[in-house]
Amino acid sequence: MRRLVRAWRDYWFRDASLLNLAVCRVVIVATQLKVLASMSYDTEAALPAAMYDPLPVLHLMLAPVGWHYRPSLAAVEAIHNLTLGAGVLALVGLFTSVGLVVFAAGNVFLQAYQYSFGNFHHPEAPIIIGLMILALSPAGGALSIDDLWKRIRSNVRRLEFEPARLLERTSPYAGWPLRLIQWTLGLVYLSAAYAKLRDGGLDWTNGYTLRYYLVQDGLIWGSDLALWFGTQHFLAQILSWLTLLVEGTFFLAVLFPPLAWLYLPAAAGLHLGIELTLRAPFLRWVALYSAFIPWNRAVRKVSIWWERHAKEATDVFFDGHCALCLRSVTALDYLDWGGRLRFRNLEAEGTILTAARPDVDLADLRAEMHVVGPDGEMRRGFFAFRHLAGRLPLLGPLALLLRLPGAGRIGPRIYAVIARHRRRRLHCNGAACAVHDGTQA
Amino acid sequence: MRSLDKALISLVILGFLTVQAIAGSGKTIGPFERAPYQWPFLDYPMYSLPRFEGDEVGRPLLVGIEPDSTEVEIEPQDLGLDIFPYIRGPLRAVRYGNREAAELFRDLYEARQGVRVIGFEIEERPIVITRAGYRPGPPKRVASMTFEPWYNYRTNP
Repeated sequence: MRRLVRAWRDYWFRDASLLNLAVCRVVIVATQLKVLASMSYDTEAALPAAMYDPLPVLHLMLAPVGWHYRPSLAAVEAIHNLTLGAGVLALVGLFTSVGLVVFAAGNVFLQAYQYSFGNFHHPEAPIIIGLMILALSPAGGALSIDDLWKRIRSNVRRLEFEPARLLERTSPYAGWPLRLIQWTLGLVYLSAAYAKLRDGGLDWTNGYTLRYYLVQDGLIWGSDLALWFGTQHFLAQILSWLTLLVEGTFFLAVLFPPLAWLYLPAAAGLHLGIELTLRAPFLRWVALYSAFIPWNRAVRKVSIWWERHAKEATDVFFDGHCALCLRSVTALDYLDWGGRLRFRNLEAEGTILTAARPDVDLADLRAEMHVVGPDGEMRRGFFAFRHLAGRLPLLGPLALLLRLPGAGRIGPRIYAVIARHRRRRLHCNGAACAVHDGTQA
Repeated sequence: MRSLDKALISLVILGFLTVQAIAGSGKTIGPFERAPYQWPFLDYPMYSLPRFEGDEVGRPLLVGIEPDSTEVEIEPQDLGLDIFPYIRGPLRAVRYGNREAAELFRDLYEARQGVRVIGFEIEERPIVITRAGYRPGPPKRVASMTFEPWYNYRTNP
């Protein structure tokens, strides 16, 4: 028994990457936000009361206002908007835990409401289960404003820059949500294969079955592609076997993770085919495949490739006694997944630059940001910031904005204003304040 | 504290897996009489029934009977419905003789179209699956319902 408990703990609670969980959060929440944004409730609101048959989960959620209560259209739309807002928070990672709980609960409510009028579908269920799992997990532990803010406060409080090291951070609570999502998908696919074998045995692969459903849904949705496939008997037989094989053995990708690289494209192809022919929106399940992908390893591989094939890192010189500077470099470091920036504290490493550039002294370095790019060129202030934005793919849109005509003239002025007033913005103490005041430079 | 956390999470894991496994096998849990009531934990039996050569793909259509015996085809959009509420609403009501529900859809149709109907029929226009492809089958009326006791849709002009 003890061995079983240990095996259980080793499986579900071994250290796992917080980045992997965070990427999964971003992908699943973004996918469901897109679905939610397209939902409307006018049809349900117009249906007669006799058709209202709430699902048990909706009964439970509405119990405080009445077991058979039917919410008005205005109330449902208000919950829809609240859920959208919570989803945006969960996506960017601001108040992540609360955002995820509200987003998951809101989606359960809204989907259950739509399914309480005799209209019932399957595509949403696994994603909503995934959201429920994420809501119970530390999915905001990385790639979130919450986490960035925590790091900024910590670095500023200690007046010491400590890199985020997103790729290396792990938690014993980061693995179970990913594995549970994987197993949920495995069980869902197994259920689909089981139903086919239970209802039809291997007759399901006779070609007529798949063609029948292609013609049926092709007529309903007006899909010419489905109607064409509906005439291809041999192809239908092959696709039937493949469908049964992928659905029935998908769980092997959970047990043996390297097989995921075989099963994920196969299952995604299956859903793409279903979406194109039967118009059934199961392709969104691909968002759940993000739970299978070791994002941290993928990013690390890209970083290594970048270091080998692209350019050297950009040196960013910052004042370690300046809270504003610490905030900036903490944020930049947080976005630098590829290791393209190398942060150098002036107090310890400023002489590297002043020795190489006699025209620059420490006072210059403290006055505004300095970076030295892979091309050896030194940039200051606004131009340094623009260079950094260009080096970080996650700041790509900002980099484009900073390259707009006129930005090179307006940008330095705005930067100068901020730099001039940063003394007032500092939460610094003692000598560090004096340094930024310019009095001791 | 950590052990307690892990124990609670373990219960959540076991709960999710158990409910999904039971629901996925098509069984129901506790008082829930059929699988959809366990939503979002479901079974996935879509498209699972086997089909064979000669099977007919049903294409049911709701037909309204006006007082002068004119027949009018009622599509989902005429009732402001999508295809699935159309199948599960008026088509099911007429097919299974649920007069109360059918009258609600009659009222809905009359309010939206400004046309009075005194009965509904369901017409099937099947497609027959063959080895070489498919062909249309003969249309047939499979169900009818009248809202006027005096009216016989077969004999009235």
